[in-house]
Amino acid sequence: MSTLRATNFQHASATNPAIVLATDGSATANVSAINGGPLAGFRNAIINGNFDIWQRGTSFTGNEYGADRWVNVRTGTTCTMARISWALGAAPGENGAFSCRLTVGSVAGAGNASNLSQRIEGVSTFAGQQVTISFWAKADASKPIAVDLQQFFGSGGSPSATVDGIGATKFTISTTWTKYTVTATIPSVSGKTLGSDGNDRITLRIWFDAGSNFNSSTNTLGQQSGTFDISQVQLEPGPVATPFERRPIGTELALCQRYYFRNNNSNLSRTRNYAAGSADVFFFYAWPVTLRATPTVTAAGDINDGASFTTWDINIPSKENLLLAKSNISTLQFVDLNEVTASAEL
Amino acid sequence: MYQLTSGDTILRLEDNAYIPQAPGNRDFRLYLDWLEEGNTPLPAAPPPPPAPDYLAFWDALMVSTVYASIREQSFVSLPMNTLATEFIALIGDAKAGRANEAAIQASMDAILATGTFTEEQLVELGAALAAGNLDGIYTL
Repeated sequence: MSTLRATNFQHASATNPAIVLATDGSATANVSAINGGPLAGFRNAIINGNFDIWQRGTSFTGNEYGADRWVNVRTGTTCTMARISWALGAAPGENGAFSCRLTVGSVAGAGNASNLSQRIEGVSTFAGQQVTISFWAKADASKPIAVDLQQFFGSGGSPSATVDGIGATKFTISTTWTKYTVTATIPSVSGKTLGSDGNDRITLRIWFDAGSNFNSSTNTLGQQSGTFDISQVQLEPGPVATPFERRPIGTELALCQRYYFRNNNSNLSRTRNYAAGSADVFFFYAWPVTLRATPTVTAAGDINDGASFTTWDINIPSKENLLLAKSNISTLQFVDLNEVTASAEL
Repeated sequence: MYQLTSGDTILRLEDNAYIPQAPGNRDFRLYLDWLEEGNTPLPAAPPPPPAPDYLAFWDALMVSTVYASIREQSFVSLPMNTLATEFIALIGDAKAGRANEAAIQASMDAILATGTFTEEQLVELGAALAAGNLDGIYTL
């Protein structure tokens, strides 16, 4: 038995050591995978990075949330976000079922732009750390895109200024599915001030079209139209892109539902007025998970299977549940609750 | 465009979404931005008119002198007795949530045309209708 004494272990062609040995007997290792899989659960800070969950629908043209947790950010320029379905085994990357397509129609203007964003709760996320962004992508022709991160310290009070262009990188993607990787170092938040509204975050942005106002965030991407496909987005700590982390679909859905929830299965609940005389009819609806913030709520119902209505006489949302009431329901009339949505997005 | 509500939420009219006045809510911050641009929300809608309450109407009618008069006239008049029986049946259906407004109006008109009632009794009948929120539905 002997002891091999060394300081680092490094491949002959590598620029950095794979294993750094410390004097206290510990080691730091850049491990890309364990048995070809992720290093550990929940490495990926991106939710719905595989675009499996689309509670709101499957096609969006506005400056709005589309696929769960993903925002179709566009100003001036047009952009349609749509779900693309894949046959078994045909998806890009590591056995996905869906990808996200952005069809961009550039409109010239310094302030015009289009990007795919995910807002990640908590500006302290990965603060002061090196991170790696990885995703699969292709375009309708060989075209440049850009990636950056943003630190937003929140609204309300006197928060520190937003930091844009973290790790801003421009690179060209091809017409075939390819995995791209960008490494960045997120600044420390030490000494910074949070806003009072509790909405601080970091944002991952994948840029397709950017007027000159966004040069610093996009490494001067410029403006262009095109069709861009994105799949299996991952943001993780460390300098290495590990295999895409596949979480159980129920877990991924629950993560999404912290920010947005929809149940439109019709006849969610029915309440009949058995009182003698008219009365208010109440519904109590508990969200499947506690929401990030008190949500914006929509709810659809009908009286005696009549025309659908979406306004209520009492509508009290909380992070945990919703109280609804419809007034002046006559004896033996019933009210159906057919759909509810709750949005607590950043 | 937004509208205030009688509660603590704000109604976004484009999709009838109820926005809580919570600082962490993204839509509430957009609403505040909209206010800062100089916009003003619509005032809260007036509460909906009260629903018909046939039980309250019946309770008020039972203790009125007009009910006593109909009852007394029914003892001596077969037509009044028939009309009163029909009226009681119609109000019974209405109390169960199946109001036939045209038939009730016609029945009430027939009773008033067949019987004899004082001005005070008609006022009491009107008050009973009002007690059941029916004064906007039926006329005397």
